[in-house]
Amino acid sequence: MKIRLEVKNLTKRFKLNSKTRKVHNGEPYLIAVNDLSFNVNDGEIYGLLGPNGAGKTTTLRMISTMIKPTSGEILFDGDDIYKNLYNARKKIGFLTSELKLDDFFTTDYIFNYFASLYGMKPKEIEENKKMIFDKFDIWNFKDQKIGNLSTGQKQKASLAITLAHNPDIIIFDEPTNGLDVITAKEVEDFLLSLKAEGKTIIISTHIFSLVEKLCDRVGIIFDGKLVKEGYLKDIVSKDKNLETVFFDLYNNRDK
Amino acid sequence: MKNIITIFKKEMKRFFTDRRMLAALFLPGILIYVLYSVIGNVIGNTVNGSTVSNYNYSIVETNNYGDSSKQSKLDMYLKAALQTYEDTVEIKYINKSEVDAYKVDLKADKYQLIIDFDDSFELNVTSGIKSNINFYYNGASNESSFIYEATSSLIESAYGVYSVNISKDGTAINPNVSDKNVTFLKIISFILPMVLLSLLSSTCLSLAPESIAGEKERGTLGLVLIAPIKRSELAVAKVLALTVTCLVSGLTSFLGLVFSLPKMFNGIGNINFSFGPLEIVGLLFIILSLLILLITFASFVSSFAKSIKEASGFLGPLTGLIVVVGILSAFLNTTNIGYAFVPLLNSAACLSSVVSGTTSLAFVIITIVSNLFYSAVFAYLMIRMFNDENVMFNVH
Repeated sequence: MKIRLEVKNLTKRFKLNSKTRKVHNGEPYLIAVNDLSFNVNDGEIYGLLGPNGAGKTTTLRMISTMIKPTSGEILFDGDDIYKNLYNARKKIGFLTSELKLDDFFTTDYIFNYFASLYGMKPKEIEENKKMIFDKFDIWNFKDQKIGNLSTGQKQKASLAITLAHNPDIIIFDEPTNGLDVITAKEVEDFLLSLKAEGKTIIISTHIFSLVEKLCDRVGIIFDGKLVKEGYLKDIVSKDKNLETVFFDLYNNRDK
Repeated sequence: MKNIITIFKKEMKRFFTDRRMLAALFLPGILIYVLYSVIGNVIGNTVNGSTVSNYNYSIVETNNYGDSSKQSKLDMYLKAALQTYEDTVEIKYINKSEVDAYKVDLKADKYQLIIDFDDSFELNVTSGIKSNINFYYNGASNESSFIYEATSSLIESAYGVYSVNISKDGTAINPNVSDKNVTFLKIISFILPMVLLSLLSSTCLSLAPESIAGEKERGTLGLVLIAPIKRSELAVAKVLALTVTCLVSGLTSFLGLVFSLPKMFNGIGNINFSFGPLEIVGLLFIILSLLILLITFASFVSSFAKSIKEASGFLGPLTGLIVVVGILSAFLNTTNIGYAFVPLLNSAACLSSVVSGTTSLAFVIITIVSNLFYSAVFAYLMIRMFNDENVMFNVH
């Protein structure tokens, strides 16, 4: 299977300020991601599983080019994404709960705005918009301001904006966090439909059931290090489900 | 360039379709107009007293100032000049020796004004020799004060600057009537920079935190930061949109100023004030360059802050500084070019000097160039902030 994304020896070290140093025992730096390597194959859903503070979000932020790695490489189709940054960004869609849409604008306006920033032509924008708005049933609230939408509608709008430029690889940080069960199910179904379309997807989560339902392969991450990686079917067994495997690894992490 | 235009359009849509934003943009201009007009009326009423056009006035005038033909010329002039009040003004001619007796009548409000000319007044003035006129009026009487103001100004405009002795109720004081305009202009040039700077800065200091720190706080900036655009493009588009928006606000303030100042000056009655084209162009460029400076500074500070509250906290002291600078500017000597390099102080001093008519072209030009230079520095620093992931994403 073709490797779409290669993460090689990725490390991110944050310099701490005087306040945050106290929390980290006076250390001047925090190593959020430590020599992390994994691959994501074309057309699969890859899950990064780990507790809060494990480095999942930092890893996704680096892959999405939001922040730069301290060291290591991220290759997209064999090319270093930082060597052709803008081209790489056009191929990546990133959705995280930290990034929000401006309440003042409508979904329709924001969709056009971001598609335009990603260099899409008006005709392409309209075609892509029709497909995505149909899929998420956005037409009936497309002219309402984001601030007036329900949580579920906002999530749909965010998904639509993430896909506005028709990215090849889609990164979701905690995709179902804070959603009600109905909207969460819609998002799960949507991710599977994207996979069916041949999109490559990376998700980060701490929800075992989500990984089990969606992911082809999973990487378990603690303290910025990848402790286990592989196809889900190879990691779980009849005796050990994903949760058991995870806690076995977690309890033995310092041994 | 396409990305800058796209972001610029979005920012403009944000600013110009939000009612609260619109109010923040146009209120300063309206406030300037209303405030200055009201100030003009208040000062005008204070200086001129109440409107007294229906009162009767009696002026007693000494007639021993020399040549009788000159005397008749002056009388004719006074009568002609006072024709506005022809139904209410009566002029009586007395000898110098009678002045003291008439002072008693002046106190009793039987007469409202005594004009006592020096001997050979006309002859002296014609020969270029300064000569005195002693005005006696009753300061406790509105009618007396009013006719004194009107008459002294008429004589002043006929003869130019000369020494005038004024006595209220016979107590000799010696102010120079010709200082009245200067005093008034001093007051205005003192108030104007402070009020104008405060109103202009209030727009800049509210829009920049909302547009930059607000977007960071709400998490809406992140999506733009991962788009395939240069962060310098984002910074430039933001500064451009803020600058244009604040320029619109500045223009309304400027129009408010242009329309209200003549009203303010004319409200005083005898002071005819109008801006010449040079003053208008000078004021316009000073206000524009000052706005650009304020917006780039506020944008730089806002890009550093994590939230609107933090940005407002950082920018808060600037509001106090602006008031202090506004006051200080009234005491600055604009012949000292060094002040033209000091941000804020230079603009305030320029505004003050343009209004008081003591402006220096070199000072104005250096002020504008300095403002633009400092703006470029702050814009550069802001772009550095946009490129700094620690600042933009508050990672740790």
